[in-house]
Amino acid sequence: MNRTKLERVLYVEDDPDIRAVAQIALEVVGGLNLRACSSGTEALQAAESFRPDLLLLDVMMPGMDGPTTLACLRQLAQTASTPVIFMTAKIQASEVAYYRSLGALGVISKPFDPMSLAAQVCQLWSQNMMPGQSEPP
Amino acid sequence: MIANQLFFEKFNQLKNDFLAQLPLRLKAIDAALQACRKLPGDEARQQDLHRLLHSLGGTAGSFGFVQLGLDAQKIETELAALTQRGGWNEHDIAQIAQALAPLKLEIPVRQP
Repeated sequence: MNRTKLERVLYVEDDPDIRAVAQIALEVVGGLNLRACSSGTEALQAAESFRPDLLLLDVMMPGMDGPTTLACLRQLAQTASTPVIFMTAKIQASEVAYYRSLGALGVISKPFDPMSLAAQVCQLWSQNMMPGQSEPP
Repeated sequence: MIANQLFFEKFNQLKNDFLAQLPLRLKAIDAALQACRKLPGDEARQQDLHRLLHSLGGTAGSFGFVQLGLDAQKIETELAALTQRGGWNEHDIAQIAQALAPLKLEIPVRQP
């Protein structure tokens, strides 16, 4: 896994409209290679072949929520230690602390600004994976 | 610059699609509320309503309809508090209906 430059993002979001906006934001504005999935189950199927550098998970999803999806992805060799960022409307300090306790690099609040989403993702990546450097999209 | 232009072309298309579908979303929220009214205490119906508002809150905000998104999120938070308190009664459902009414007045005008 390339630990210096962010390229491949596995994104899981159940809402098709939000998924579509985030997809163009991350691909077109951010230039990232994105695999967008509509559920945790789909993400589990996609993870091994896609080999993501980063997991970007919505928290509240029907069926498998974000933390449950992460727990399942951690069971796969390919994503056992892949960095993760959560996206959620609930960004109270206690909730952010909980997501961080699961190993998250950070939390992005929803609704998000599509024009700055890629920059937010890359900033969290840079802060954690490339300390001392910045990596604008 | 070209990436930004491409982004805005795609984004505006999605935004117009969202606006076109918005009346249907609000109808679905209405229908979910009516289902809760018919079967007070039915958790599956309550979750349907919660999910629809959660989706509207996230989507509207990301398309730039900030007030609509905030209002939907506020109602969603109230629903979650009611659920945590132990379920919704008829009085709660009447209050939810009152809170939802203004959403219908917030349908933004479609851009040409």
